[in-house]
Amino acid sequence: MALSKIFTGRFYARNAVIFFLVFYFFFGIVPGNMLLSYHLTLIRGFTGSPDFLCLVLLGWAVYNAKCTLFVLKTLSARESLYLYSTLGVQDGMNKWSTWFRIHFSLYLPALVYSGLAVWIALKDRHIGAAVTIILFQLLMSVVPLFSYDRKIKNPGTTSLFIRWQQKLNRLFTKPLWAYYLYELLNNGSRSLFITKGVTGLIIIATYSLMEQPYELRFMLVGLLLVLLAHTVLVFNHRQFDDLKLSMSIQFPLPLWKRYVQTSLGYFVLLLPEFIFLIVRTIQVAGPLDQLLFICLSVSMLVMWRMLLYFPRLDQDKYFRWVLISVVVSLFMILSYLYWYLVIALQALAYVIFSMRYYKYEPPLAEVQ
Amino acid sequence: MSAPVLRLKNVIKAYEDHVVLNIPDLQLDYGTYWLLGGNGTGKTTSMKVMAALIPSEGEISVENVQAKQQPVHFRRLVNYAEAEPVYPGFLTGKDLVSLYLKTKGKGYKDLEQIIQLLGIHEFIHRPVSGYSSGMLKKLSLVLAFTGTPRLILLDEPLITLDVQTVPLINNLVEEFHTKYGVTFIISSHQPVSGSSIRLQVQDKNIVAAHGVI
Repeated sequence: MALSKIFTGRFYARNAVIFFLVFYFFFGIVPGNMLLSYHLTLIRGFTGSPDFLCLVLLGWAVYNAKCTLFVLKTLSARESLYLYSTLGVQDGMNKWSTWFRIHFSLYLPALVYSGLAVWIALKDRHIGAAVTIILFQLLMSVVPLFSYDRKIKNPGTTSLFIRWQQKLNRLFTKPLWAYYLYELLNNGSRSLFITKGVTGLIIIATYSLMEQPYELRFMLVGLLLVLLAHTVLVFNHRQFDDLKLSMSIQFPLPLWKRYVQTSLGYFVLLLPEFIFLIVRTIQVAGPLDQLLFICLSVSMLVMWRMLLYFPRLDQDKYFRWVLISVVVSLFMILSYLYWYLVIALQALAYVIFSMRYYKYEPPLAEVQ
Repeated sequence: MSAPVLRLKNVIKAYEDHVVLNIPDLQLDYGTYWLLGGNGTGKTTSMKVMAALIPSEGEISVENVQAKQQPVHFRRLVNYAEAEPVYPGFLTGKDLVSLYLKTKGKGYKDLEQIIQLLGIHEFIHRPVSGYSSGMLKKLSLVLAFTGTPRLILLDEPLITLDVQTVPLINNLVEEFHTKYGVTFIISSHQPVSGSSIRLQVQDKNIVAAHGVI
């Protein structure tokens, strides 16, 4: 009971949003009467195709790694020291069954779905797929137990992941423009991945809803929605700069360099969307259209970030200005003034930045 | 007559309508200054204003380089180390050293020597999220010695440092002051340099500890 609170309860609570999204995609997007056939088709799809099966196994392996890392991280936490004097003194079957119960409770969703997949594969006489899944899941259920056992026997040791990270740290230094991306990956991964998931759906929906032939304005309207999904990430960027990067103002960097670095950061942040857009529209959109997607997106996010150099711009006012800029952009897009819009956004962003950067002071409520 | 190292003229710092600093005229020549004042008197704000890290009214210049007119050049001449440094936790000491070297420049003395001297090399490849407050403080002090500044502001440089490190910092300050001609302003509850000139934040102004400068 105590172990389920420490490991299972916290794992599902911490990943509730992800589970909710997965649950929604598995059970929420299809009507109730089609649910069974939807899953049967899905399972028959991957048990009947080796390529698709590899992709599914990769997904399960990633989920398994997430479960394993969670247990190892919990064991490494300072507040978990007592686990070494409780779990650490068990041996024999007792020890292995405890580790198995913990891991099983976290990995259960994948095991349930693979159990159903094996049953259907056997019914369809896809013996190879059924055996592959069984062996794979046996491996996934047993291998992590050894890493837990190793960890509990060696308290205080650095994990392979940390050692690998330290090796990378010796080889590379992180560039200033990428700091916010690192911050998102380290402390804002949930909001980052949700944003990316939503923007992926928006791009798919935009392309699917667009009547043929290809219409640039329609794609740009979809792109505006993609950018709107990033407003919270841009807002949080100011907080990150204020609280953790306050030293950067003392660097003797010209304003244009700071501006280019901010733009580069947003370019990389939007890279998944750009790649997805190119893949989706490569047949119909020319290079100039692709360039427009990139320039418009980066200019818009940079302009929103620069708006935040007005210190009295709280969250409400910020979202109001974001909506105003989106409406103005929408009208300019509908009037075919795409490149004028890019120039206007860039000019506005740079003027605000050059006027406000050295005059900006973080809101007191934020830094105190 | 040579220009003062630091000059503040008609500098006013206010939050909303509340004035926290009002410095009509302050001229500091080459030297080591020890900034005194009780908790909450405005020592940190004064230092941040002197380094032009927060906006204020009036003129601030270092060796005649104006903070508002030449912000990039001004920042080459002034370094500042915070009392309680905060950095993104994912950065390593090496990341920060490399960032400062890239932006501020190599400096008067080989930074590697100072890193070795303070024992930072032992943890420089670890993310700063795992540093103790003393380790973080040592790192922030090393960063203040990058580039070729004419003025270094150290806010409470000795707090959280172990007893072995305190004399090393004092020696560094002495060396940079005498050998490289750097002016220091140090806020501390402990004396940093025997020959330092005492300043005090008093009635929102900065004055000599025994009267107006």
